[in-house]
Amino acid sequence: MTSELIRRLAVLPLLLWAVVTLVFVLLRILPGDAATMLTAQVASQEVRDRIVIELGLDQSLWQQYLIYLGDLLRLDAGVSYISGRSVTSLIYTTLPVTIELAVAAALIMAALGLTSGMLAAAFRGSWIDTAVRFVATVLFSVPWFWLGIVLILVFSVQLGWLPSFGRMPPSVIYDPVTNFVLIDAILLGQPQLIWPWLQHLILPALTVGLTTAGFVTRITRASFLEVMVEDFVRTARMKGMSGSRVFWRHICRNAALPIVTIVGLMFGAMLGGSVIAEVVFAYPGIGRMMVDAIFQRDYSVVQGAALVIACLYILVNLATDLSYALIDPRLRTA
Amino acid sequence: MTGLDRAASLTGGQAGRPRPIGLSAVFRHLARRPVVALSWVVVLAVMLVSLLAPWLAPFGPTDQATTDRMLPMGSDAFVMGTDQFGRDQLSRLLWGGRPLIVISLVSVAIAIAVGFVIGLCAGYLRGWIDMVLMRVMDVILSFPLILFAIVIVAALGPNLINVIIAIALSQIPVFARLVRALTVGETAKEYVLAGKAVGFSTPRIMLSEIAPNLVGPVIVQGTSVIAVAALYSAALSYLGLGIQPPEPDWGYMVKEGQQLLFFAPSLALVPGICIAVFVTAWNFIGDDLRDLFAAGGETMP
Repeated sequence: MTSELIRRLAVLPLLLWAVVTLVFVLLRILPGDAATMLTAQVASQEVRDRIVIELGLDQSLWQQYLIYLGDLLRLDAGVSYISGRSVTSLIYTTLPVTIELAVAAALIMAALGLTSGMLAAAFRGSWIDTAVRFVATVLFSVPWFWLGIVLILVFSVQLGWLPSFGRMPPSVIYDPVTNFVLIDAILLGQPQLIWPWLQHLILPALTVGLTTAGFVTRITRASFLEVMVEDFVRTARMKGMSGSRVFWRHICRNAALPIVTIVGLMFGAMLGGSVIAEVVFAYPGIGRMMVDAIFQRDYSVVQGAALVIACLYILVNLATDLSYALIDPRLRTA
Repeated sequence: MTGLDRAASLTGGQAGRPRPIGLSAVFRHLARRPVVALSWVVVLAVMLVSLLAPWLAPFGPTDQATTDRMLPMGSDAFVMGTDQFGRDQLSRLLWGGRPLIVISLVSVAIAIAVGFVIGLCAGYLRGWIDMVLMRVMDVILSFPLILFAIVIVAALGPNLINVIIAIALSQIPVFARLVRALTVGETAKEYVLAGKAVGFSTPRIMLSEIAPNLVGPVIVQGTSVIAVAALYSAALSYLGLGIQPPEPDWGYMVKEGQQLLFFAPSLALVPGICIAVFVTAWNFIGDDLRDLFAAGGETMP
């Protein structure tokens, strides 16, 4: 396991470098590159020339690439052409918002997916099983944005229980420290921040959580069904072990590996889903910032946001793989 | 075995070639599974109606009746009402499925074609070719795939062709990995050894010996990926990165309708239901094929 860990960590910088390069190539070499897009909107030639020089677009692609790599190493991802703020600081304010959303959605996804999947496995072949599987398939077939709109219609428009957009009501003003509201509320000793934040978080998190839960349901069900018929389960029962002990010690532990994998992998779908949910709910996360930047042709922001999301995804996948060892001792020596 | 392999094997993993089946067997199978039969009917009906939209739609999809804005459902000439520009919602719904259908089918066809070649080369030739091709696939898979598609469309500019390219590129690794794994399995079998012994050329072994055995599982996986591609297409167009207005498109119609959610919820709800029904039907079909042929893995949304 230690060697596996070392190997994965050694590959990590290479993978990150490849991702950085891919994003650079995509946004520079393809037709409609940043230079033409940015300067096309500017009227005077003088201003146009100045922008080109300021952004370093007059240099060769190789030079641009090296400068870009060097800047990234110093955590400098450039400056937003629209707002004038550094991309790093923009990411610092928007990334926590997306992480909050993704974590909340993951909790909803895991809770719903695990319970419904186990339920379906326990009542295999009954109407409960059929119903759970049907709902699961429908849930992951529904467009994310549309589910969000349905939730707005029900909980905001009809019932008036929850707000339909934003992250905080405009009346709440505070100086963020970490930009994670929960942590800030504790650090600043302002518990009154939490409730309005939760109210705004529920609908976007439900949107992402519900649309991804169906997938976890299916994997959980399949995994439990496979383990439940294994010989060691029968042996444990034969030894006279109690039902709940067999369930927790033997079935759960063995069924967990594929489930953990899927929950980890789904975190990626979740980051993608939050991009959409953030747009639907005008939730000020990194995904919405990126989509806005695409329309404003603010390419350094698009580049920075895409990079950060990809890196986060890679790290989560790595963490998922490493967590197998905790669950399955057989893999520790591998 | 990694967790992902186990996750894949749980849902069937990879298996042999599909047996030829007669038409009567197909009908007997569908009679036992009414949901699947209904799904086929839905998919074919949606495609047929979209194909016939020019003849079925009572109005042009972009025709504006400026005096008839925001009419409710059930108005005389406008069964589904009109939108804020006085366009007939029914006509727009009939036309609006076209981009989604074309994008999902064509992009998956491209992804299968390219992924097949990559997977076959990597799996049969192995060595550095395998290394390079699969590491490139790993890099694409380092992005949440919808994000990858968004970045490509952002770079290329939003239109039908570019959306197809973006979605196809994002799905190539799915097929490349599947085909590679299957190819590695097939290569170990005796008929490949026999082919080598007889002196068949490498391309001949790859194309006429191994490839035909992979078609079944790849098509099964393809049906599930069509559902994913349709969702991506809808999401891109909701973000404004798909078909540009005023051309009708279900995803963008939801976005336009969202602004009028308080006054006319059906403008946003109905096109969304159309997308959901189409995608759900493909998913049921994909599940059924996977059960039948025990092939392919789960398709991540």
